[in-house]
Amino acid sequence: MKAGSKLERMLESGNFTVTGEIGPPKSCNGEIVRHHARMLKGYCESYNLTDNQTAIVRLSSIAAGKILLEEDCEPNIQIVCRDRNRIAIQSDVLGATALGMKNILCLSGDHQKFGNHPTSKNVYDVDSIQLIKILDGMRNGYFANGEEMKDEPPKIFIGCAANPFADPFEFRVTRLEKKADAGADFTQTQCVLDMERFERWMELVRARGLHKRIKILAGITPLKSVKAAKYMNKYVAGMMVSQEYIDRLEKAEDVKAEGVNIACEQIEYLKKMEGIAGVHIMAIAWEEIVPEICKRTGLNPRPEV
Amino acid sequence: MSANADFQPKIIVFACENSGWLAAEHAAELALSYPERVELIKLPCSGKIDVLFFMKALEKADGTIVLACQKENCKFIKGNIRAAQRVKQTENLLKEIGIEPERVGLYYLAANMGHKFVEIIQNFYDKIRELGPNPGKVIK
Amino acid sequence: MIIAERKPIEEILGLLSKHQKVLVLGCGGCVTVCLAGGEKEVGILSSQLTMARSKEERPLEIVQKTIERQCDFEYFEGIRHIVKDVDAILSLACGIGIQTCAEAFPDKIVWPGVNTKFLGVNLNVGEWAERCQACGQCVLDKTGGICPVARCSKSIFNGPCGGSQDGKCEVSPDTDCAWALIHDRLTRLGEVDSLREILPVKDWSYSRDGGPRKLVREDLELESGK
Repeated sequence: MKAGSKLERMLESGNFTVTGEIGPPKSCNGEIVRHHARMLKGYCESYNLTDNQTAIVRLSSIAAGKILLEEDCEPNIQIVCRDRNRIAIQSDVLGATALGMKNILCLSGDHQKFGNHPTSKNVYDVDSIQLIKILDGMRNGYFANGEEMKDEPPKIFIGCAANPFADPFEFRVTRLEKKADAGADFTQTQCVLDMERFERWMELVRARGLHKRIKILAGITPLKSVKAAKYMNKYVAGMMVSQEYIDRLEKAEDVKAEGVNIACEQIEYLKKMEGIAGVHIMAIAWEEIVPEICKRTGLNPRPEV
Repeated sequence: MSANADFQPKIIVFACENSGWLAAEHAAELALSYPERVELIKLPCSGKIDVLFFMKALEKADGTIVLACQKENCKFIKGNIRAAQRVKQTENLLKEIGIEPERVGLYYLAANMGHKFVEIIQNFYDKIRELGPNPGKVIK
Repeated sequence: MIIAERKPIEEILGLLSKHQKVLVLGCGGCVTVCLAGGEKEVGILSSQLTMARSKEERPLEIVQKTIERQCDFEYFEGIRHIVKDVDAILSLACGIGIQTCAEAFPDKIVWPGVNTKFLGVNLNVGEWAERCQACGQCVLDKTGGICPVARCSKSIFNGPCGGSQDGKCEVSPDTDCAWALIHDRLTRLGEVDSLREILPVKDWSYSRDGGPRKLVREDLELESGK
């Protein structure tokens, strides 16, 4: 065990694992985080806390993680490379682990152009792969500069993202391999809304045996409207929504219900896919749907580990 | 109409030696007359016109134009196309400082068009007369 | 080459508002090539400024001059007599030239007439693109001759990030994804496997992050102590 988090234990047990996501609010109102934690408690092994998602200023992911711990939910702290240099990031890693957080997810971060402070300066002192390597060094007792820690090293279970829907397609597998080489223990993929492409990607992943080196959780996002689906497909870089899903939503009487149906079908399908260790359910601004999806797919109650 | 009835605009005309300049000579042969305060400057091609020429002209004149060969009839193929671009660029420079872009212009004609030459000059002269004096003319 | 762009005319008119006589000073270097501050641009801008000020009935006298380069002190010597008689200098050189000009004339006001944009290449008439950030430690050997520092929106070393689609950057469909370019070029060269290596954390101390940089080459000294 690297950190002994519930997430790590569940993945190691071989059980189909479930992670969720909570977006901290654009305010200091921690009760919103608490509310979502209580709503989702018991449905997932761990909950990602986004780090100023889409470059919009929000309550800090580590502070939100503390609230989750108080609610007996396990946080997965996202850290993006956009806003902090290696000094600040290492300091935050020490702080988060001191507070009892064990899972950290390393990301590049959305460019600030998309956020609410487009005139800000970005940092990108290190990139997401270098960040994984820094964290791996830290848990082995070394700072990024090679200096040995005088005290006990932080225990971290390291995560990363993988995007099978970005380009160049084949290189996406190499990039996951680089992340595994750097020390990542698990990866959560971009929302799978094009199962055919995802399967092609998984074939390449399996061909290189990567699924045996890194735990893969497939991203699940229930679609809420036809408009959102079309928008994501057309305008969001690195996202793809298959025409099949768009057609189904268009024909559906109750679009939201159909979106949930699709998500549930995907989970059932992924359960049988070789190399898939679990799902990461991202239902930002629709958190209340997560329990229903988990119950319908038999992912609730969770096994004890 | 201009407030000043006595206003006689000063106009600087850049003329391509293959069309506008010859048309002016043709007008002279026909003894056609046009306003006095019009100064002609010969260019080897309308494509020789430059934003700076126009600007320098407008430092002392009320309007300025370039006379180019008919479309697709430029001896140097693209001269008249480039002249049109430079007129646009000059219009923008004038707009930036609040001067009417109509004070610069481009007209197409052929060497044997003496009457057309006079008509162009007279029309542009009348237009500038209505517009009034160039507010940007440089005070020394 | 250094790419610059003339400042908006209103801004320049504002800077010069209290002056009666100025020197508009062009530079024969990069800004001439990128059509922002060479002899011709000096002429056009001077024309615009004198016309705009005449329109306001507050005439502005302009002396025009373009020197070889504004990033070398020696070229300013020849214009001392002109500078003596003007209220201020409007320099159309890049940020380097403007500062050198101000340093050459410590008692004279020197205004910037251009915005210095980036180190780049001329792609087309009126079109330039960034190519180098002068990070001080070139990595082009590892990235197929395409710079991730200058050309990736996030300056990442192990890209492309998840925002790369159809060879374009998430920031704008007009921006090529540098890492897609790197990947494609190395694939063409049969070297794509080199990208499996993790490029290490960059030493930014060679870049601006190490403080203002200075280069001293003792091998070039001709007289000791000079």
